[in-house]
Amino acid sequence: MSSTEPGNNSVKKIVASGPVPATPVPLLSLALVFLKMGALTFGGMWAAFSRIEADLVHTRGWISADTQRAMMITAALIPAPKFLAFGGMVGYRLRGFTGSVVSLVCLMIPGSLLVLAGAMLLRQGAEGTLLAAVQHSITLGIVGLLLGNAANMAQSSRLKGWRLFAGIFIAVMIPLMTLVFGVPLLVMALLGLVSGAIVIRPQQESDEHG
Amino acid sequence: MDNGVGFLGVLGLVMLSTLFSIGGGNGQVAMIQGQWVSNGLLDPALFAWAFALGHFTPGPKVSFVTAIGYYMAGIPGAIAAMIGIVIPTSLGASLASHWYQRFQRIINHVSISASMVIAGMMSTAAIGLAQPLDLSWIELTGIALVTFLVVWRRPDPVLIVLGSGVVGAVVWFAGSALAG
Repeated sequence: MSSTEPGNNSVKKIVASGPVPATPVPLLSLALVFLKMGALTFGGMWAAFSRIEADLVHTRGWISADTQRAMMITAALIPAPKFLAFGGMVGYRLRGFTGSVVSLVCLMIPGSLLVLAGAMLLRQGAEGTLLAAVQHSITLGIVGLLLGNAANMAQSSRLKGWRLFAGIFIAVMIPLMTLVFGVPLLVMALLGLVSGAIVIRPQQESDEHG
Repeated sequence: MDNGVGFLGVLGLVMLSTLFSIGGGNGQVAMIQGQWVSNGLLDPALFAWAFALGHFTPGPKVSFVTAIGYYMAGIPGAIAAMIGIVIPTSLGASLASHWYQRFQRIINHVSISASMVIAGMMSTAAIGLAQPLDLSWIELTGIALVTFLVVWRRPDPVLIVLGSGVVGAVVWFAGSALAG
């Protein structure tokens, strides 16, 4: 988090009570802005930070820069893809639940249509063809990407000492139990979340309780 | 596409998997791999291709589920995948906006262990994706190199996908030249 981003206490105040435009934003305008955002941003929410700020804060004045940052942080904490969650939060702020759905759908449509076109154009290549060779090597690259992202995700937890040990234990048990003993992934993920929430408590709180 | 999954099957799994996307973790990848790839309903190469498409296209990367939905149940499957993402996300975003202060304590508790759980889920997806491929030691070394590169330099995933594709093409052309 950069020095310009709000801290945790200010985040909850800004998200809960940030400024809302005096006149309701038309749903069509909301839809067009998020369609444009969905069509012109690459690399996810944080990579699109400047473009989002230019559109929503400077050009339209729909939200403040502080509200944008607070919503982005919150979007990364709730169980949903974070760019979409951010879009949904902005839509909710401006036009309630309908606005949330409209923003989300419009943000997702351009990329989804292109992905769908790609899926329809290119299916599985026959064995021994160039397409099959490229698809195979992309699969290997994605296996490496997923393993690397898993390591980066574990590092981002910033756990230390016995909390780190407990976290690694949970992370290792999930593939072990799923792939070796056939326990459903969903069961292991839920077990991991529940046991992690009980054992790995927030640093400050557990320090306060000794 | 005669795999018996259908519109509701796609909708259900994508909705459920969305709940495991805290902090940008690809919960969908692990859930789809576990439910459809490892059971032989979706080819690993198509799964990887869909994932790659999500990185090549603009907007949220999670749009790759549209391709998965299409592979599983045609156009209705693609629509089901989109609905499956939109419904839980709009509910979660609206609730987070409305009751942020009430949920903050729960979110703080879950988000700490969520990083490790998602790391475990991503590892499961990676290993599960590689398992049916019967990899040679050269391919395993290649995977290890990519993993090291991702941890060390955190490159844009598009570069990994493009680089992997180029290597595959070069190897195929080299093999064809040697055979011919």
